[in-house]
Amino acid sequence: MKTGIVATGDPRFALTLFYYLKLRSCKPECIILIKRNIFSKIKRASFPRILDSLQERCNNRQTGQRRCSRDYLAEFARRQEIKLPGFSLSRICKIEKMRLFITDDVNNSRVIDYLRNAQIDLLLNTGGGLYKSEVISTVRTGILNAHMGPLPEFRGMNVMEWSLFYGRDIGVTLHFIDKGIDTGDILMFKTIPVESGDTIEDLRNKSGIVNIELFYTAIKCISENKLERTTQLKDKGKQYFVMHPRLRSIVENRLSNSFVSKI
Amino acid sequence: MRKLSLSVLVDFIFRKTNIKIFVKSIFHPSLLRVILRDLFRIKYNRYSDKDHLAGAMEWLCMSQDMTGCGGCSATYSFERGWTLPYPETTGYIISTFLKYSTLTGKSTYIERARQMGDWEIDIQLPTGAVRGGSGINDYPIVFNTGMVILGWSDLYEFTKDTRYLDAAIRAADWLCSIIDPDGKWSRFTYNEIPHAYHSRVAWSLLEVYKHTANTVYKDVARKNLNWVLSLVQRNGWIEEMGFYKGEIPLTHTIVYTLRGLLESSAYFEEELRLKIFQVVVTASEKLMLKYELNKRHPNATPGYFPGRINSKWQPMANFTCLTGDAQMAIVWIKIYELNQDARFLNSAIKMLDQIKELQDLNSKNNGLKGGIRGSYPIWGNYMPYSYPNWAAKFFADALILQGEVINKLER
Repeated sequence: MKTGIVATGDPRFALTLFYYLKLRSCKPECIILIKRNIFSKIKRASFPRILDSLQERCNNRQTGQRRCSRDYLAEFARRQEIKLPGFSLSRICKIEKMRLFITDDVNNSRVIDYLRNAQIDLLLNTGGGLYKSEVISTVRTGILNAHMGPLPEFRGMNVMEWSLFYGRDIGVTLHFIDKGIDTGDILMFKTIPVESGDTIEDLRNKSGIVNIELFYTAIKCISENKLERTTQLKDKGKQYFVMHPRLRSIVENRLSNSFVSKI
Repeated sequence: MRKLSLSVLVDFIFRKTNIKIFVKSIFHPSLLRVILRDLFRIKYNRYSDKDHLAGAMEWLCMSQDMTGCGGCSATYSFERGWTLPYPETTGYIISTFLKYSTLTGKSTYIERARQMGDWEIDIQLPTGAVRGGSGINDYPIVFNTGMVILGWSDLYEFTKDTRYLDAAIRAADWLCSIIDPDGKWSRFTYNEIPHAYHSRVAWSLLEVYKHTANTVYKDVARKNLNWVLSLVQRNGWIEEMGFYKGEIPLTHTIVYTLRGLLESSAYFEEELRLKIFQVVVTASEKLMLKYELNKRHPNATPGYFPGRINSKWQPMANFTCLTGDAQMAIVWIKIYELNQDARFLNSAIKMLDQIKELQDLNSKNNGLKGGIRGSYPIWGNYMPYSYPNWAAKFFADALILQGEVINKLER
């Protein structure tokens, strides 16, 4: 089965996933890196946008989010004996004989042409944004997404924080991407272990490990034809949006004050 | 609401009033500063809720002091400065002062609220109705009567002074005497048409019912609410929410309607209560989704909420109506309290942050310091170049409510 990884920004997670799968003989064929080049940034820039983004940064600085206490992903990589090479992604791809596709939009025609010609069966989304139906239909089996909360209850943004706000189990749901926002068929859910002293950033970091494990399990199941897809009942869930820093700090305090392990 | 600076500039230049006010403001740097800030989209610093709330309350006190009669000046206008006292909004500002006095423990706010309530009694029409418009006019208006009842009712609850209850009863009796058989108020109304936002008048009758146990008030309120419910469309839209016939309503009057429904629902049996609540939640959720989805990318802060919404729930304005925004935040927080859907609370906090960024707490002009303007940008199509007292009132109410809810969550 031909797989590909869609990554954005810092490729560390995508590389850890790549080596994890490679070690288990499921080496992906390509990495599609979503990266805004300087021209697309200039095209989108305007005075109000610049002002807004400066203000947003300023506000975020004021709220002072708690940082991650440990680098769980690096610890996981060490445990798995994955050594991330210290050179550029393009060089790694060359060495690994893997296609690196850099684009500023996952929905552009070049990506679609590539996916069609390379006959990619499965894409693993680690942050490509919203996919248009043309891309979704081009990938034979589909595009898998690891969603940081239980579906169908919590769709959208900051769902880990929202799950914590409501005192629900936190975990990752692996699902296929469809035209809606987190509305595709569900494959599996795995909880994230919460330990004393964990911050939201710790849990987000831990979720990366769960994502990698789920992606691998799904690839195995698909290749063995053992995959069970559950259609989502759309009425059962709600779409959530970015949590306001004040609510986030309430969640953070609850997490540090009243720790109860759910595992 | 997300417009390019160039189009904002063009929009500004091609309005005659703007130029007139712009020329006037050259001699008043504090006013000019507001215009220039809006032209270049430069916001004010955000402080703590307490500071913003104190700013709004000081502005409201100033609006009362300026009239010298106990009533609050309707607006601070770039053209005319402080304007005449406004009976309608002075009525509901009473409730804000009472809440603020409870919060801060300062009795001076109770005294001010009493002055407002006494002034309202002094100018109450012999029929029991409240006068329309700002200043002392001879014509009665249904909506204004309801809004003052809300203030009198709260004053009675707070002080147990029966003068306020008597005044409220006289006003409520007048309202009951002029309602149409089908439950709408079509006489003595603003622009002589019935309005869905008279649901707030029904709410005021229910407040009088609470104190008197006279079921006539409850029955009349029920009649009106049933009429409002008959205006609900399949997509959740409610007809007749505007000030004028066929007007695309402002968020101000949309949320007036929703708040009236929501507050009234608490007085009825489960069936009607749930029916009304469902109408309010459906409409509020549509507005909340519109607000949250109006952003550059999923992680960005939402843009300003458009000041007018059409019957397909589409934004129809390039300005935001800050009064409507503050009212919306109140309704969202109240919905959260009832159904625990924290998305509403989340959006309300974001919206209040945006209003805070448009409140100048450091201006040397007392008409601007702590006040909340009608529109953003200031030349927008709702109360242009004005700081209405009801904008500050609803903003203060929203901050008090937000504080209560967040305190509960933090405990």
